[in-house]
Amino acid sequence: MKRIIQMMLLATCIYLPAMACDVCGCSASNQFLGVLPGYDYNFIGFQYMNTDLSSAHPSVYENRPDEHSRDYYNTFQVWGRFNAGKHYQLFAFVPYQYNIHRQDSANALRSGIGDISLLVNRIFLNKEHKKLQQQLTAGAGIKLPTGSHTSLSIADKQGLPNMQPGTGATDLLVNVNYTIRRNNAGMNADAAYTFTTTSKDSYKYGNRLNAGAMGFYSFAAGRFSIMPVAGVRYEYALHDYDNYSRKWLNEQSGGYLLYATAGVQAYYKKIGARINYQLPVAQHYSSGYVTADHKIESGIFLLF
Amino acid sequence: MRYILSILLLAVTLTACQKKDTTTPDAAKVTISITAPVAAQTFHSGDTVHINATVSYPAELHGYEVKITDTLTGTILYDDAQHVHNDHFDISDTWVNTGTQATTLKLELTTEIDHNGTTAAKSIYLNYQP
Repeated sequence: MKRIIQMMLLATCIYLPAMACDVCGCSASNQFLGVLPGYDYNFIGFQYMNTDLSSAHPSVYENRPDEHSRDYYNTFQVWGRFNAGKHYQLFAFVPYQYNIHRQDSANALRSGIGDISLLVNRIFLNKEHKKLQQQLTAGAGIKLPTGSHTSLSIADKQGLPNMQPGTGATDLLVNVNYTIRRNNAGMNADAAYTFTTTSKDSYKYGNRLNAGAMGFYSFAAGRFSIMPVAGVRYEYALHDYDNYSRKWLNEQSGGYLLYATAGVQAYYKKIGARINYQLPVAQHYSSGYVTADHKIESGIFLLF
Repeated sequence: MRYILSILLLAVTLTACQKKDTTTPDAAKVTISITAPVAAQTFHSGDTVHINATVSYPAELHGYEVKITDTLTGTILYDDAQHVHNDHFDISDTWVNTGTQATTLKLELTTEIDHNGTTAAKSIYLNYQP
């Protein structure tokens, strides 16, 4: 098992990005689960996620300076988990995107309902032995092209594929999530991989990996249960295709980001809240033309 | 579980290989047609210059630039650079000249074949009489 996971990570890591080109923003949807609230409960929650990026847009023409922009990705998301019997968990994610591209004091705003994702996970392991609790789930899902998406081959829409609320394509999602806990302390490791497909204009976002490892410790503070978490997250994206059927590979897209992350979850009865802050510690995205500043994720959820 | 992970590993490995169009950039294969204005056409102050052109190529192009230069002073009077990706462009621009000096204008259409500076260009010259 350990060897398989190591090989899997190696296989995704060895494909390093080559020289690149079309820059603008970062990954499209990159859903992952991480440390989840109340394992045996259903929940519904509201999340806010923010990612700030700085981009340099190299001119394709000589004697023109690079243009610089800042991209602000804001996702407001309703999501939930429903336990279907003893062995299955159903997840649903309904995002609303509010993305701002700021260049030369001019703002370009793209907002709207994003791509809805649905996941089904099977519980492969859920046992407790000598105060050691372990849970292992894995499953698959689909990301539907419900968000608005326009053709990218038209002048004045150039370079902004990631700013759009939707990708215009149906993607396959797979994930694995493992948690081990002894008394109040534990660790969580998860990995999610997105197999992308082409949009109707033949644009194809690169396949994406999102993996993380987090440690946590829970303690009671009055009527509250508090759980600080800390760890690392790794995001990797293959190059996009400007036209997949013609194999027009955009070598200036894709790359990796490694974040150090810290946060806290708090529970009061069946109401929970959490906030996470991610700071990049290593990155090479869009051939270095895109720099991630930070990520913030916060949310509330109701267990039932 | 091991079986599932093995399938996943195989799928990830296969999809991590990215094929790409290996067409060698060749400026000679670019077709640029400037249908308007026509070479040596004369314009006067306040006239609208309608620029219509097409660009085509067997593989991916990475953008185009339409530029009008005053050959007398070297001043760039009009410049429209578009970073778009396609194997053909249908270009339709307009420009109004309000210069006060008679000169010859150079209309140049350049297209980017790759991101390493390979370009193809076509120019025509126009007369300007204020």
